[in-house]
Parts: sequence; C-alpha cells; structure tokens
Amino acid sequence: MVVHERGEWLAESLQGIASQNYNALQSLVLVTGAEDDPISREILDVVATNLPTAVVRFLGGNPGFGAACNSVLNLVDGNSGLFCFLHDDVALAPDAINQLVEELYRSNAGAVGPKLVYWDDPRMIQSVGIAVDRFGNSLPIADDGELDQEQHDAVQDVFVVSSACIMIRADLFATINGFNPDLPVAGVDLDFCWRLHSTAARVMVVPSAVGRHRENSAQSVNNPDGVDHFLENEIVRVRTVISLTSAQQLLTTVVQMVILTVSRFFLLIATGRVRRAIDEMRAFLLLPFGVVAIRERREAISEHRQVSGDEVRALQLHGNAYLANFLRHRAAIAGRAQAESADQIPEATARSAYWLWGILATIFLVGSRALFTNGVVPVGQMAPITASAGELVRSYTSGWWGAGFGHVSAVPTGIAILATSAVTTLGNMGLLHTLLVALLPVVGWLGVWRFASVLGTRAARIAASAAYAAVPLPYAAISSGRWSALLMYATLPWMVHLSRMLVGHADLEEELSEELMVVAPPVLWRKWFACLALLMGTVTAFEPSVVLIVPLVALIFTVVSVVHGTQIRWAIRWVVVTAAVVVSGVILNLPWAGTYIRSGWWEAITGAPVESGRNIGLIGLATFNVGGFVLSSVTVTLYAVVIGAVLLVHGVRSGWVLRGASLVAFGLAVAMLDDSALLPVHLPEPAILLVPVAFGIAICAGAMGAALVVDLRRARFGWRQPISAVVALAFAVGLVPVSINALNGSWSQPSLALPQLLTQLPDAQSSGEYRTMFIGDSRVLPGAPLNFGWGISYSVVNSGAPTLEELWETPPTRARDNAVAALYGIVRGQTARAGRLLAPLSVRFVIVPIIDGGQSTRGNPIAAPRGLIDSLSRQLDLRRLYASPDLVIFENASWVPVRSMLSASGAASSQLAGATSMIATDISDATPLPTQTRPEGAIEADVKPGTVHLAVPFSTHWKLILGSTKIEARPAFGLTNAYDVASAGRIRLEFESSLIHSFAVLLQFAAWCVVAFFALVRPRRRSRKNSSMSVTPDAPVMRFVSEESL
Amino acid sequence: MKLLRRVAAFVLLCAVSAVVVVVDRHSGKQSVGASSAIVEFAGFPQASDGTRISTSWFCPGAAAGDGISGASVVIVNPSDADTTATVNFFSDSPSDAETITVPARSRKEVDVLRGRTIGVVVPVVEIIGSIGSVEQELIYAAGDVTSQCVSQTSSRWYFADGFTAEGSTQRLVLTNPFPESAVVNVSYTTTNGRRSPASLQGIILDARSSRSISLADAGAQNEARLAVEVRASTGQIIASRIQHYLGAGRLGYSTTVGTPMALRDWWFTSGRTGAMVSELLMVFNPSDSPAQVNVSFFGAGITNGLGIDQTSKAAAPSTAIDIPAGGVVAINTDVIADLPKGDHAMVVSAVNNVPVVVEHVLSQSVGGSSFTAITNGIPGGLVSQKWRIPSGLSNGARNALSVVNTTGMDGSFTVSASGPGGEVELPLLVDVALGAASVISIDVPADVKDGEVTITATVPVVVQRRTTRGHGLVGFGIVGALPIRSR
Repeated sequence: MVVHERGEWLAESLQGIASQNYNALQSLVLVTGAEDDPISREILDVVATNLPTAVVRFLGGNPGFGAACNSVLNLVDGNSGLFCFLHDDVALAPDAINQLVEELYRSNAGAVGPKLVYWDDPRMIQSVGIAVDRFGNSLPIADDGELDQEQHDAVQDVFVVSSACIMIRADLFATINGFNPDLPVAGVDLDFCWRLHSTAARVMVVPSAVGRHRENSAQSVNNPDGVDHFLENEIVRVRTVISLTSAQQLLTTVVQMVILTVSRFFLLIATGRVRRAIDEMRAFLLLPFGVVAIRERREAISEHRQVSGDEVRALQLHGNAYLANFLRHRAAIAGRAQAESADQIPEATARSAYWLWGILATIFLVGSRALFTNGVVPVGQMAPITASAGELVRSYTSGWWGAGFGHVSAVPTGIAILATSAVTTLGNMGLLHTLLVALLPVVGWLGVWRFASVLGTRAARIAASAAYAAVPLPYAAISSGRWSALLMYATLPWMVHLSRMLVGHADLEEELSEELMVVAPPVLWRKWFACLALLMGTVTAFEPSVVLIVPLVALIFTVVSVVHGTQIRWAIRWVVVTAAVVVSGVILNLPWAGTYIRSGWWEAITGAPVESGRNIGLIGLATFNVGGFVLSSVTVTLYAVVIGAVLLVHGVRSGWVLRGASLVAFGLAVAMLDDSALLPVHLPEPAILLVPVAFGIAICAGAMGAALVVDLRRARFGWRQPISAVVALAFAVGLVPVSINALNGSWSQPSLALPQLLTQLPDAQSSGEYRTMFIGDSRVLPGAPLNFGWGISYSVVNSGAPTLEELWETPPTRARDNAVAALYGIVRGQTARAGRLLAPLSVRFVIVPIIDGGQSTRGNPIAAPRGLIDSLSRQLDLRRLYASPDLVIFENASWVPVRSMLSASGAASSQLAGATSMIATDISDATPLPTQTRPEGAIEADVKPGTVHLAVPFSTHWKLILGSTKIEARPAFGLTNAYDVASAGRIRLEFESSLIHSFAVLLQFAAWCVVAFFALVRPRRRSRKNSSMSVTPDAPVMRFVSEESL
Repeated sequence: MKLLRRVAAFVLLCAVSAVVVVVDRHSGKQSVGASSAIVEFAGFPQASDGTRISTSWFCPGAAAGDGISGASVVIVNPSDADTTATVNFFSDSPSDAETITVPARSRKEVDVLRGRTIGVVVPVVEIIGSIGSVEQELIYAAGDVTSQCVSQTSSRWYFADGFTAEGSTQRLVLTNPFPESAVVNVSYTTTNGRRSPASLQGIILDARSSRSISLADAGAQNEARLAVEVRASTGQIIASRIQHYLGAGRLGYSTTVGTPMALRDWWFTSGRTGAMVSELLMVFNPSDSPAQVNVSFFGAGITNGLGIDQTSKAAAPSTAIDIPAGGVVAINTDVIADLPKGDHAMVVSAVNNVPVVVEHVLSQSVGGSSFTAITNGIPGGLVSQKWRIPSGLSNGARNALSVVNTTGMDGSFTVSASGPGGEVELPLLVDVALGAASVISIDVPADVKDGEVTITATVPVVVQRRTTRGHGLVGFGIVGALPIRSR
C-alpha cells in the first residue's frame, strides 16, 4: 500500500489488509515523505496500530504512485509470488485477496482486480473494470454510481483494471519493469494493462473480491495541488496509444485519430465545451514534441511484446468509446436536466445551442462546399500560395524579400506563420489556403460565442452568435476577396473577449445590479495577455491595420464605459491594456514591423486609398455591401436589435448594450466619413471598418436575447413585450439572407477572377523571368497596391499572376522610385518612353485591370482611372497585347529578363545612371539566363564575356561567382546589379544572407516561443522530480513465502 | 444619475447617427486620373513649359530620290546644359537610331536620309529632359522647306489641301512609331466627292515603320482639290504629306504633318492679297453634317476685322460659306469685298458648330518666278502668350514674323533669341506695341544668330513666320511657330 497522507480512512484501509484470510499475505507500506516528518510519524503510528505486521518504508518524497510501486522490485526478494498494489483509501473485504489469488490461478491471469464500490455506500459500484477503444478512450464496464444488483458479478476479461487495487504476478511485474514512473495515475492504468496484454497476459476483474474505494489517493499522491489535469491526461492517452499500438496498425490508427480529433474538436466547440476541445486538439498537436519519449517506450515494449497488435486490438472495445459513453449518459443527463430545470431561472436550453451550432454548421458546410471541392477562387487578396512550406521558411530566413522589385529586408512575419501553419495540413498549401478562407467565419462565430459569456446567459450567446453569423460581411468578403477583412472578422471577437478579461469585466450574473470588475489572478492574467499578444501579433503580421482598429474599439469602449458610470480606473484599463497589446503585437513582428518606420507608413498600414471616395453610401455600408451577397438589403433589419437593445435592455447588461450600439454608430460614422473621403487621412477599406459594426450588432443582439429570455419574461406585460416581439421578428428576418446565400456554395465567389485571365501571359521558362506592373484603381489591383496619386495606384508582381507572398507592401527602394518616375511619365504625360524606364526593372507587362471579379464586377464595374489607357496607348514602347472590358494588357517591348546577359549597347548604357541612359538606349536584346522559381534562389549558367544583369535594387548581398572567382557587383543604370564577366565560364548567382538578419530572425523566433509558451502551456503541476525519494530502497526488506510455509 | 447617463449616451448615439445621415448626402469628388497626360490639341505643333522626362518629336519625313539634296532634323538646345537626344529613323526597313549630344545653347542638325537614295525616311527625335525642340529642314533646288514636328501621335489625321494637277505629286506618309502594328484607312475628297479606294482600306502599318502612298496611284490623279482623311482603326500614327507642285498655278515643294482634328477656329497670320497673288483657304468638312464658316481679317485698312476676344462677341463675319458634309471648298480671299490688298491675318470660324479643317495656300508670281506656300491653320485653342521658333529666323529677312493680337486689348511683345551667351532680347524688338485685334509683321535684324527664337507677348497672340527658300529664289514659305502651353 502506498500511503500519502494520514487520513481518517487510513486506519480502515489498513484494517482491511489485516483482516484478510489469506495466510501468505505480507504487507509492505510505502510512505511518501521523510521518516522524520511529523506526518510520517503519525502514519507510522496508525500502521503500527492497525497493521503491526507490516513493513514500513519511507520514500523520502512523493515520486508518484507508479514509481512508488516499482520500488517493490528492489524491496521484495524473489519473483515467485504475487503483488497486490493498493491505494491508501481502499478497504478490502476480508476474503478479497483470497478471491483474487484463487481466480488469478484459476484463470491463469496476469493481473486481476476487485470490484470497487463506494466507500460510504457499498451498494453503489465504482468500478468493475474498464473497456478501452483503440484510441485509449475508456468506457467503464459499470457506470460510476450504478447500483450494485449483482449485474456485474461475473468474472470477465477487461482491458484495464483500476490501479487502486490490482494484483499481478511478481515475475510478470518484473518482466514489464513495473509501472511507467513518468505517467499520472490515469495514464498508469492504461499503460500498465496495455503492456500486460502485449505480453499475452490476461487482465481480469473478480467481482467476488470487493474493495471500498474512497477515490482519494489519485488526487493526493499524483495530484497534490488539485489542478484539473485533463490536458495532461489527454497528452498521456495520445502518447500511450502511439507508443503501444503495433507498428502494423500505427499508421491507420494515427489517421483515424486525426479524423476523430478534428471531428470531436468541432463537436465539442459546437456544444460549448471549448476548453475541452482545445485541450484535445492541443494534446494531439503536441504529439511531435513527445517523439523521443514515444520511441523509447516503443523500444521498451518491443522487448517483451508476445502477441500481435491484432490480438490486443481484439481485446479492445470495438467502435468508439465516446459514442458509447454519449449514448449511455444521454438519458441520464436529460433526466437530470429535467429535474433541475424547475429550480433554474428562465434560460435557453442546451438544445437551443445545439440547434444553433447545427444550423451554423450546416450553413458553413453548404455555403462553403464549392470552396472545399474546387478551392478558393484567387480573387482580390485571396491569391494562391505557390510556394511550399520549406520554400517559405527559406525565403523568410534568407533576408531577401522577393515581392515587387525585391529588397534586402526582413521578410514579413506572415510568411513564417504561413509556413508554420502548413503543419496543420501536412504541407498541403492548397488545403491551407482553402482553410484560411473557409474557416475564418467559423472562428469569428466561435469568438462571439466565447465573448458573449460576459452577458451571462446562454440565450445571449445564441443570439450574439446568430447575429454575427447573419451579417453579410464575411461572405461578401469571401466573394470579393477581402481576406484581411475576413481575418479581422474572425479575430476581433477573440481580441475583445481577451481584452475585456484583462481589463476586468467579469461574466455578468443575474444577482448583480451593476457590472462586476475584477482583476484576474496573475497567472491567468499573464496567460490571457500572452494569448492576446499572440493573436495581435498574428493578425498584425497579415493585416497591419489591426493596430488601428483594436485601439479604435478600445477607445469607444473607454468613452462609453466612462459615460455609463464605470470607474475611471477600470475604463482607463482598456486604453492601457490595448496599448500594451498593440505594442506587444508590433514587437512580435520585428524586424519586419520596422520597415514601417518611414514616410508613407500610414498608407502602408491602411492600404492604398481611393482618392475620390468609394461612395458606397449609408445603405451600402449598413448592409455590408462590400461584395456579392444576395438580399443584403434585408439584413438592415438586424439593426432592429441595436435599437431594441438600447430601448429595452436595462440593468447589468445595459453597459454592454451601450458599448455595442456605440460600435455600430461610431463604426458606421467612421466608415461613412472615409467612404465620402471627408477625413484628412484615409482609413482601411470599408470591409475592415465594418467589422466593429458587425461585432456591435452581435453584442446588442446578445443583450437583447438575454433580455427576451430573462428580463422580459419576468416583467409584467407592457410596451416592452410588443416591441421586443417586433425586434425579434425583424431579427429573424435578418437571419434569412445568409441561409439563401449559402445555397450558392461558394459565397458568390466569381467563376472567373483577374488572376485567371492572366494565365494567358507567358511563363518565365519560355523567355525569362519578368515582372508585371498593374495600374489602376486600388480596389481592383492584385498584390499590394501602392498609392500613386490622382486616383491611381499600382502594384508590381513577379511573373503574371500574384501570389499570397506578394500581398505585403514592400519598403521603398530606388527601383521603386524609378518605377514611380516612369509611372509619373505615363500618368502626367511627361514621357513617351516610360517603357524604357521600366525595362531595367524587368517590367514586361503593364496591365490595367478593370473587372477583377471581386470588388469590380461586370454588373458593377469600377472604371479605369480617366485617361489611363489612353496615356498608356501613347507610350512608344508599350505594345497593346490584349484589350477587353475586363483588362487591358500592354507589353513593354524594351524589357529585359530579371537575370540576363545584356547586349553590348545595353552593357554600355548600364554604366550610366538616370533616365538618359535608359531612354536613349534600347536594351531589349538581352539574353535570358536560367530561370529560378524563387526570388531568392540561386542560378548557375555558362556565359560568355559580357555583363550579367540582375534586375533587383542594387545590393552586394547578391554574389556572382565565376568558377572560383567572385565578381564584384556594380550599379547598373544607377539602380540594379550588374557584373562584368571578363571571361567565359560557369557562373553562380546567389543571395547571401547577413548574420545580423539571421540573428534577428532567431530573436524573433525566440520571442514568439516565449509568448506561445505563456499563452498555450497550462501551469503544470509541480514535478514529482522535485520531491524525489531521499531514501533509496536498495536492500530487500522482505521476500516471497508460500502459504504452506506459514 | 443613472438615468442622466443613459440619456447622455442615448443623445450621443443619436448625434452620431445624425452625422452618418448627413455625411451620406455628401457626394464624392472625381479623381483626375491620368487625364492630364492627355494633351489638349494633341498632334498639333506645340511645346510645353512643364518639366518632362523626355519629349518625342515626330517629323513629317523626307523622300529620298524625290529631288531633294538634303534632309535634316534640327535639334535645338537653348538650355545651359548639354542635352542627349536619340533620333530614330523609320522607313519601310527596320528602324535605326542614333544618339547624339546637343551642346548647351546650340543646335545640331542630323542627317535624315543618311545615304539613302530611295524611299521615305521619317525621323522621330527623343529629347531627354524638358528643354529643346525640333524642326525638319529639306534642301531642295526649287526652294528649301522647313517643317514643324509634333510631339503627339493621333488616330486621325486630316489634310484639307491636296494637289495632283498637271503632274504634281502628292505622297501620304504614314508612320507607326509604336511596337505594335496599326491598321489604317485612307479616304480622300475631290471635287467629285469622297472616295475610299479599296487599296487604301485596312492598310497594315508594321510596328516602328513608315510607309509612303502616292495618291495619284490610288486614283486621285490630276486633282486640284484633294482633301485627305486618315483614320487608324488600330493604334496611333503620324500622317504627313509630301507635296511636289509642278503646274496649274503652283510651284514648289512642301512637307507637313497633318492636322489631327477638325476644329471651329483656325488662325493664319501671313495672308496676302495682291495682283500676282493667289490666296486660297482650303476648308475641309470631314463630318457628316454641313458646315458653315466665315472669315475675319486683321490688318491695316481692313474694315471687317473687328476686334475680338474671348469674352466679347466674335467679329462680324465677312462672309458665310457653306461647306458640304465630307466636302472641301476653296475660299478665294481675292473675291471678298472690301479686303485691301496687302498682308493680313485671318481667322476662319465655323458658325454652326460643325468643325472643319483649314489650310492656307498662297501662290505668288514675282518677276517671272513663282512660289507656293502652304501652311496649316493654328487652332484657336492654341493661342498663347509665348511662342517659340526652334530653327530661328533668317538674318535680315523682311516681314519674317507675323504676330496677331487675338484680343480686343492693346498689348506688346518681345522677341528674344538664344545663342552662346544665352537668351537675349533682340534690339528694336522689345516691347513692340501690338494694338487690339491687329497684326504686325516685323523684319529680322541682320545680326541674329540661327538659334531658337522666343516671342513673349502680354496678350494672347498667334505667330507665324516666313522662311526663305534659299538658292537665291524669290518668295517664302510659311511656317507656324510653336505655342508654349502651360501644364
């Protein structure tokens, strides 16, 4: 018996051993703690009183139950007997040991266990063995608390018996090296019995042997701090399955496990068990971190594995333990809920939540079915990810930002996040792309569900989630390719939720008369802050304007909180917390975020403006008309909940109503001002500005939902009820359009988008790498549009169609300045030779997009800027290649490939700088060098004497090696790189990273790891290693004897 | 207190909502876009005083083997720094180019034919930077020709005058300076009406090439009235005319870029009537509607030349002439009553808003010799206070410069010339008085160098010059000056 503490039950447990009628029984009591410890002395007294024959050993510390038991391998001499391991809260019936021994010999079992019943009520069964499915999920043979009517009194094989009392052959125990000392009790049972099965030993339950179990030891010995260890148990379960499943079954099991985990994740989320869902998912995702331990465990079991995996599998539960558990408990839960409902306040039923999430799941699956089957149409910002995860990592660490004209700079953090995210799809970037679009609305719904817990009722959560799902914004964003808006929609509720917890807004309760403000414990506060910083860092990495939106929301909340009567010190916390989080998010994005410290940073954050205003109008903005969405005008009825909430909701929720309504009003006001270009600065696109509006509607809907279910039911009939009925009706009407739009299957994504039209452009392989410059209205430009002025923007992408890597705006370079000069020449009519100015930059195509399929459609086109196509047509080096209502493509007849050998005249011209050298000479006769799919990639080629030209901003980081000779780079045209090769030979042109950049990348990685650690890793229980045994039980203290000898 | 806060919050929300509604009534402005790149009156000879990266000059071209003994482009650099220019030569063979440096405050002539003895060569000059201008000069035994170059292409070109009578030849030179092919349709109008010969339809003009078309070969033989319309259905081009007059009252050689659009007002400053003078205003109406024009004259003793300006009523029309749709009409100024003999300026105005194209044809016999000067009209929209003459003025020439005040206000002008010492005002040509709605012809001082000449007036004026024919020949040619447009 392993004794951890001196409980009042200990004496009774010891008496149970003392009363056994099995003659050859010897007792060894292992006490966790030092001998000189006062508690140990008390335990020693109890043992001496109740089981004087027992040998007592002090372990010096608490090594855990498994490790404590394993000490018998040293303390007991010989292996011809049996061990019966007991918790200190198990009191055996007098014949229990005898029954166990008899059955063990009769059945030739390896291990047996008794029927465990409740300590205080022996009529109720606690355990008669446990069935386990292939995934390590357990299904008790009898329900916990089931009345013992002898219905489980047959001896039977089970997969697991509780370690509270387990008898095992000593030789077998030694063979399998005892319990796994590194596992908690829950894992110990499964691991121990599974390994027994692998040795062909039977594990049986003997119901005729009975033990009363107080269910205390597991907590005291292995869980001294009383913390919920669900995550840890899940990690143990997953790793145990992976460790003990046979090699032949491992792959299948892992795949099935993936499917099961993902399915359960959504199921648990949908049923509100978010914590559990996350823990299960985390347990699985953390699997790679346990690979070493798993390998060691597999090697260990391979030494004594006697049977195939199939034979072990046959002993396991067929089917799914979750499902069996669910079916078994369903009726009981329903009955309990019915019984308890009489005493509860009016509240939406759990069934309502199931219905909500069932409907939302249906809408999600039906509405996104084409996205999953056909992929996401690359409209707007939803450009495809063409690089593999490895290529993205290499690009990120290289220090060469290949977007636009290229730049020696820190690469956007988003590139690294994308590469990391690819782990979830096993490197399938197409699937990752689809998931990053299709799943974001669901993330937003979940965020609101989570946030709405602050409103205190399930009805509020249901109404808020429904409202947030009903606004057209995410679907219109998918339709028009506004991925940044979609990301904001998904993350804003989470950010506000975490912020409100950090600020101190506690979940509301009915008994409260005003909002309860509390400061979370430091451990939790730190964890939440880390989560928020991580989220902010991630969103900033993709959409920098979040550093404006979140503070805007916080500012509104601060002002409203003050107006509402919240103490200033709490209201100010919104500002402080948000500022800290924004700074943290920016720091996490260093060094890339440092590229924004320059002139033009505002536009870099907010995106290229629409100079004349977008003129969507109030109705368009109010109905989130930023993309294709049928019946969007109907959704204006959703605002009824805002008005209704302001009028009807009183009491503790009125503060949040005011915050939600303010978000709606101020959000619309700001969007309108920007829409009409009335602000001195332009703001992010309306789809982003409207996210707070959508969130405000959700908050009001939540408060209204709570009011409908709780407040108004309690109130006497008056004017509120009819109005609330009208509001509810309007709200219901507003929910309809999203269902109708879901029928489309792809959220009205266009069948043909701009990048698909660009497939007609030649590939780089045929004539050398090139760049494409898009000019036009910023709303229809792919890549990262830059404002040029006069209502014109431009973007530059490598090859024809943009990729996701090119969505970040690059810092200005001389190359970009030169391109701007050329553009100036075109737009302001200052030269007819802009093509030659663009030639050294390898701009082969100049394209004016008119209809991109997203924001500009055939039904509602955004016209090209006035005079643009005409002015391009007057350029003497631009050949009009294609003209249609969708786009006009010009080819620059003077272009040279990105990597090329210049002609003699071109080489001579490259010696000079400025427009003179470029305009005066036609350099188009350059010979392309081998192409490279990655901008930072190296090439090798055999060349003749001449000038190698690399059309990137001048940098000495690009090295050219001829044979073994390094050729120095010189500026070409005052802009780009040229290498004068004096003799024929094989050259290698490559980019060399700087040590400083590598160091910065390492620092950034470390910063993310630290924040992720605080955010994701739960406080672990104090390690048992800290209380290792002070007394090493080397010498045996007893030996096996036969019953006859006694 | 709670109620007060609630009311305050409610009022705040209402105020914000009101702002939203008010803002919704505001209509946005329209962006300029690239409209400023579209030059007004593109295709007409003009220069800009704004900053430019480079300027392209498209010249009419020269026909080798046409009897000319030399052809060149004159590139003038009045600035204080050397200028780089690239001359592209377009012909029916692959284009060629030559890059030159024009020293500061000087000019450089670049041979156009470069040894060619056959075919047409069209020079296109690329001047790096914003300063400098270009003209084309031909050396011809029957009279040298100075032609203006233009800095914009167009998809339409018109020629109001044409002449193939008595063996005279007329070539149409089509130049495509772009890297893509152009498709061109040509039609012409004679006294017998408009014709669109099949051979002149769908002409494919290769990229960066030039092509010469003989109108006589296209069926327009022995025509004394021959207006031509060129339309590029794809692309933009330069259309110019090379004319060799051999009889029927005309004699001489002429090259000119066409007129890119029909307009309502056309100015001419170098008109003349007299005993041995034949002055015709060739008015071409390319539209489908009949046009009606009148002619107002300016000059000493002219009674119908009432002062006009843009804010008052137009001058009373001297006469009204009907121009049929698609037709060409020659207005003989000799038959207009009350017009004194001598030099005058003219403005041809369309009175019914149907635009027309007008050219001025002046033929004169002097001492047994004769000459013909042809010039395009200057659009009313290009009236400017500053004009530039790239190749300068002939030393000691009489009546070399004609300046007409297009307003009803008195003004003055100053003529300055660029030379090695920079731009200097010419003696006796500083603040020359110019009365309201009057024209003045001035002589050129003998010591003027052949640098660029600039005319700066205090009122909007129109300037044309008379060029000498060289080789000791009598008579003159008429060439417009370049109006300087502010951008």
